[in-house]
Amino acid sequence: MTLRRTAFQGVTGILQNSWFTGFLRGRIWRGSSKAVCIPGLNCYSCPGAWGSCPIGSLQAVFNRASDRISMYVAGLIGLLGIVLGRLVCGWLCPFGLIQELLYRIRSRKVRIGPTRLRFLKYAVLAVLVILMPLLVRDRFGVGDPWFCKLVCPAGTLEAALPLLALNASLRGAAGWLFVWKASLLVATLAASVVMYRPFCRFVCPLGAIYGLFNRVSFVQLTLNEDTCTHCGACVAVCRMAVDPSHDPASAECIRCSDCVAVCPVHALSLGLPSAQRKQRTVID
Amino acid sequence: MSSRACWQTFPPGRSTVSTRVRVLQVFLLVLATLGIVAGAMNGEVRTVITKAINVCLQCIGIG
Ligand code: SF4
Ligand code: SF4
Ligand code: SF4
Repeated sequence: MTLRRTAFQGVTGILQNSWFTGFLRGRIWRGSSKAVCIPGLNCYSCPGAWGSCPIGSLQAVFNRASDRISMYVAGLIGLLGIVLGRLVCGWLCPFGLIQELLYRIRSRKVRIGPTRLRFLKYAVLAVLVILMPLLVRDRFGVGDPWFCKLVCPAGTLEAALPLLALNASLRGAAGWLFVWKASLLVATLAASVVMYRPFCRFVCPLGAIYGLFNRVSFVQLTLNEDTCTHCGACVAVCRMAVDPSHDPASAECIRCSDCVAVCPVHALSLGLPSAQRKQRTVID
Repeated sequence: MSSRACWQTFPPGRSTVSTRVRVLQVFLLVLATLGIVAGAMNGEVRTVITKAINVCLQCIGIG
């Protein structure tokens, strides 16, 4: 299952960023498909990107004095959240895949259990994605996308590195801000080698939003309580520090289905509630 | 034998919760769809596309 998921993540990641001309010429795609957000954290200034980053788009709307309230972008994120929840993180986000691949490098691994540090991503969402883009403005009334500007390592990796490598003028303009962002990227990538998805667990505001939908999304991780023996195999395999035998709807669960594969009595399943309802009707 | 979806961890009775959550799901689905339509009619798409088709200087660390 892990390999199948990795292959799926790889194919969707490439498809989302397959305007290869951009990588050759150091330019970005300027077509109308950019009006639509792609599900994961994928920078719209990545030379290959066909679509827009949901978090970048949200801040762009908050930045404009004339917009302020987002209905279109919030609606798109909400639609993905209500249907898939954090399945997006487990299956569709290229930056999640990059962290996972780095974790496969042989090294000593640090396993961090459930920790309050997980709430940091909600603070990042509230302060850098919503409040500061809404409230901090220059004298022309225009704000900045503060999460993109100060933190986002996905933007640095997917957009800054290729564009600066291919553009002398952009390279010349890079200053302390770029050094800061590049340092954060290096720290994130290095941490990903020893820790499973550190950015997703503690920092990503998009993962925070999708996590809020995990309890109500159509796609669900289901536990059959009567079959579960509480052997702990699922807890042991889960690298997001979730205990699916107690809380399969946890906001931290990325629906990777590793626990489903490892459960010896097949008590867990990933799917749509409608199928589960039918099953219960028959069995009950 | 019973099968429990994770959104059914909410108390009290399973069927009540299941119906409530299903209503909530449909409500949120409709709300999100209406938001997309309303936002698009409000010109939000232009803001998104204008930002996305130009190199975002903040994203690449020079803005
Ligand atoms: S938490 Fe963020 S970076 Fe991680 S997979 Fe989800 S959207 Fe992508
Ligand atoms: S692996 Fe299966 S049986 Fe064991 S605790 Fe998890 S859900 Fe229950
Ligand atoms: S609970 Fe299961 S599906 Fe969720 S993240 Fe952990 S292993 Fe993956």
